[in-house]
Amino acid sequence: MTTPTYQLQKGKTANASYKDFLVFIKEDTSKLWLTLVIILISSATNMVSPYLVSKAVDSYISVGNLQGLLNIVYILCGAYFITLIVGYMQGILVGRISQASLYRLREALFTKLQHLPIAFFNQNKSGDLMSRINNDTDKINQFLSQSISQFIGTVFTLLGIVGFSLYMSVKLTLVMMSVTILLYIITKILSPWIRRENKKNLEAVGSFSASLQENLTNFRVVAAYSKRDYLQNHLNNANKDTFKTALTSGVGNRIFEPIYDFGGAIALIIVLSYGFHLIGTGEISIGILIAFVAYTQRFYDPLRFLATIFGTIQLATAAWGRVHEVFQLKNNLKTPDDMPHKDADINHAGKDLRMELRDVTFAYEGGEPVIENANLAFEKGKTYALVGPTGGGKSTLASLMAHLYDPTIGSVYLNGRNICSYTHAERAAEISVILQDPILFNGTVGENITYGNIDLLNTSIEDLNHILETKGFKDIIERFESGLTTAVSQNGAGLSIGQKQLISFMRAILREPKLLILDEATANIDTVTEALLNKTLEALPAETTKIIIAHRLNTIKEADEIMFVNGHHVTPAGGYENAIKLIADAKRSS
Amino acid sequence: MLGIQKYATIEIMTFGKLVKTYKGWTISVIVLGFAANVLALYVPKLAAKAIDAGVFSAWSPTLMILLGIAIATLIVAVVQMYVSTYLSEKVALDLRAQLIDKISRQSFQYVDESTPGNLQTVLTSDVEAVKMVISQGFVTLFGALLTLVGSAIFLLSTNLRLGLYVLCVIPLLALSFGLIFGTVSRLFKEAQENIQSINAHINETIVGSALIRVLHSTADEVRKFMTVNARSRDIGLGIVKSFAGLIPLITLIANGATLIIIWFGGKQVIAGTMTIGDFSAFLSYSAMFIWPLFVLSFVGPAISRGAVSLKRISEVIDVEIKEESGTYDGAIRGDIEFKNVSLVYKTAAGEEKTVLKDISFKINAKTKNAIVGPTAAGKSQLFYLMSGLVQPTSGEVWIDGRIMAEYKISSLLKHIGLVFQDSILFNTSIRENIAFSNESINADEALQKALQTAELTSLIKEMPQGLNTFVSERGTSLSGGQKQRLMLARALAIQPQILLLDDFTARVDQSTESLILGNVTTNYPDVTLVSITQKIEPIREYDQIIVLMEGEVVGIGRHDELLKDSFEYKQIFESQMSTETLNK
Repeated sequence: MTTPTYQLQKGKTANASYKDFLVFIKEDTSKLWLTLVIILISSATNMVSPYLVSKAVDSYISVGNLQGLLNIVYILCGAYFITLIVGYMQGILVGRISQASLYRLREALFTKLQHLPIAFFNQNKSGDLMSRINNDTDKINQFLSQSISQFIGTVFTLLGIVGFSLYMSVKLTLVMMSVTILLYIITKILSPWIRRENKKNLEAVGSFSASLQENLTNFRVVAAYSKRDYLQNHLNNANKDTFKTALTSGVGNRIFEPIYDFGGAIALIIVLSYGFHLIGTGEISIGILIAFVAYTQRFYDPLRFLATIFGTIQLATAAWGRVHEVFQLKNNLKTPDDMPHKDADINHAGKDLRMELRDVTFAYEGGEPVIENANLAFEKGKTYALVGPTGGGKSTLASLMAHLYDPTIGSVYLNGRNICSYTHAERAAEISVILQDPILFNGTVGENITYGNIDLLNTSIEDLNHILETKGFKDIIERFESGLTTAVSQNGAGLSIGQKQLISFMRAILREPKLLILDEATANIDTVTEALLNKTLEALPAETTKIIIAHRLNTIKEADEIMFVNGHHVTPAGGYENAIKLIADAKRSS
Repeated sequence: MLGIQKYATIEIMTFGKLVKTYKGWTISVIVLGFAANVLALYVPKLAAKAIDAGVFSAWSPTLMILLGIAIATLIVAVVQMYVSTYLSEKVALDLRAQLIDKISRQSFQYVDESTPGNLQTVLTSDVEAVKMVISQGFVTLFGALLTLVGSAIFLLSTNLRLGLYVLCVIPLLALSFGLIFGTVSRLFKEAQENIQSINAHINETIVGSALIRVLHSTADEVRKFMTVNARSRDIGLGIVKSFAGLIPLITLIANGATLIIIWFGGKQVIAGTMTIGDFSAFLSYSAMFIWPLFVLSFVGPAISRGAVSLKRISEVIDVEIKEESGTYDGAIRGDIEFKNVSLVYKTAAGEEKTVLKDISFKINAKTKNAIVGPTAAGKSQLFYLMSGLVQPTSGEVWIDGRIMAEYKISSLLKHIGLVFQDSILFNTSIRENIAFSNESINADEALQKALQTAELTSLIKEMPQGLNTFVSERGTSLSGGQKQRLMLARALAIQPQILLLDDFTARVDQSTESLILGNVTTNYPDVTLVSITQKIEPIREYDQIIVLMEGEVVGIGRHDELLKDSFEYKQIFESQMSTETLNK
């Protein structure tokens, strides 16, 4: 009976599908094929050059043929030139593919975040999310950019060597490769453990990032209350966790190198041992054994190289798991698609109401109900006040009316239609909410006022000044030292809450909503300015419904109806006098 | 030649300084790595010996020796791998610890100006880049340089003239490295800075998630993110372009060396001035000589990224902390005096903005004072100055007849309870949020008194785990008024001599407000109270009210006096009375 959970899991090894990742490189399929061809050419020239060098020595230098030597030098020059071109193209192509897919991955992840409901952000830490978008995607990119081409090249080399050795002796080839099976099994067994350790490490990195984020943004309190030891303790613990998990996962990522080395040595011993036996039976010549010793080395060298790549793969897989986890989350907020029965969307009895809450009960994730069985009706053009002690559920009601959450039970109707049958854009055009915590973005005052307002997107500063003037905001704009062009830094740092509230207020009024919800919108604004703002509220079109949440009694004085919100219940407060009495009584009882 | 030399020294010097602390570990890693390589080299040699011996038995003793060496190599390699991983993680651990220690001792102004986002990037992404150098680059680089020098000596001693010819390629190599690293280190710097922008943007959309959903401005936010994301891609492509050329270029130069040997060496052999044995030795030595160059081009990107990051890290670590000049750390009474205090801020655009102009006033200990005035009059700044968190541009702040500079700020702050305008909560228990470092003996008693004063006792009783209930990040699980009362309790729990309330009652209803203020008077009778407020009603009986407007004091006095003398005060008062009288 609560809102759904959006909590990202910890400690669980997610089984992220590799297939889902292909989406991000699909667009580059042709580039990938081209890369493959280029790697083939590059491997071919790499094999030809040593042959040419040995030919130069055997056929020309040792017999004193200067002209032949010169010819070889010319051919080598050509081959080296091709290597240069092909190598450069390979680097550029692989780089392009990996950068493009990193770009797409981050874009998709960020867009996904924007389409998750507000509940998601209340349940997860911003530092950890930042780590997923930046750090985890980077780990995937490292794999793409560094390992893929090396991987392909190495596989080609391996295939070539296996071909040659099969041609010389099938039996010895099988013996040579027998160790590979053992290595494969070891890799299979170790991989899940390594992936788990990598996930643990990425989680620790995420927690560390979250801890940092919190302590750095709250540094004001850390400094004012001399909580420096608190910051140190917290961060040092997170730091130690990061170290411990990084050590284990780091060892895991590199464990394959010595193991594969050992495998190569064992293979050599087995080949020698079996080769000696075959020579004894006269099946092969010493020459073939000598060649096989060389092949075994050339077979296990690239394999060892693959081992180093395995570490990157495990890390990338764990990172992809964390990224994939976010992609897997479903937004459970109801949309028009969830409302198949158009008839059921219409509230015939209340079709002339601006907003109606019917039998609404709401509980946050895993919590007790905050609102129980609320039935509220808001008529067009009237002003309502919601009063009551803090923590009584007033802001939650505002969130439900703005469809930030679905009610656990019951329905919310906007203009007589279930609010879920509105698209987000339709709903946003009807309702404006001035949130309790004013939110500002990096930019200018003007940009913050027109933020999210499609109608005013390309309005010039002059026009915007004019519009604000007609609404009665001239005095207020002049309070910012450079007016509309005054710079606003990240999260509005440097501005007082009162100033932020002024900007949020203008932002909401300029949207000309049908329903305006003010959640303690002017709490930090002085009363002289507040009187000015109240005038602009009165100037709104007659059909605008206003719902005001406030503590200041003069703010609610003008309301047509006052509702009292306390202890999960909403009751009509009757007249102003009675409302004041209710508030006073509520205090005494709690 | 100069290019690589200059560049390399800078990097190796700084990284050298870094690993100096870990001399033992570094030497072990290098020695073990060397041992593992030597052992590994023995395997093919022994294999050849086994074949040469001509004893073709499946259980020949040479094979047993081989097996022994293989096992020894495995053990050495595993130990080396562990030690080198440990070394790089230890370096990262210590770097982070140093950064944490430094930042935790920094002033609020420093953290504010360097921005939390920047410091966050230094502690995560930059440390990560340095770690990569230690784990992958450093040891490899060291080994490669050793091999380079060794093989060069071999080349020169085998055939001086041909050796000199081959070494001719070194300036070419130096030039290519120099050119590429020159451009790329700038790109790496930009890349790190862009990570900051990405983080800042993500953070904004998380903090502003409710607004974005209310306004349905998702598309705008995605568009903004695409800009920083595209920038990250473009920088990445720039780096790719630089390095894509590096490896093929090194390959070409290395191949050039082979050509030199084949052509000039071949001619010498044909002319009879060089033996064919020397010639083939030369070819294999040159292979040894070229290999480290490849290693350099592989670890090059990591090292040049790490060098940029190490510089960013040392900028934070090496910054000097202004030691607290003041020494006075005794108790205080609570007299506050401002003498001609002005405060000028630099805005983000670099313009100077006068926040406070020539402010002078006196607050007596144990009195009740209020500061009123319109939004953005500079009221909050007065509190930052009173608590020594911010220094005045000119003028002096005195506490108890002692100038601020004489105080040890950290001990002064133990006597000042500052309640900020906005609620700042930590993702930890309520208990820890209120009293995270109260070491006093009667801490629990102080805590209970603070909770009772802030009218939180019943709320906490209702919480599932009482005081141990966790507050979610950004305090999203609490209402605005609850958060503000928690902030008050935090200030009271330190049993302050001076209590500074910044618009504390904005989110608390009037009856709760008067209840709380009454509690403060009863429970903390000796406190000097300074309250920034919008409401006149509760401050009518206060000992002193300061009216602040656009950074200037326009009136000081008691309520009755101000009503007579201050037009601005009267105006504020009337804006509130008009409705209050109507009501009565």
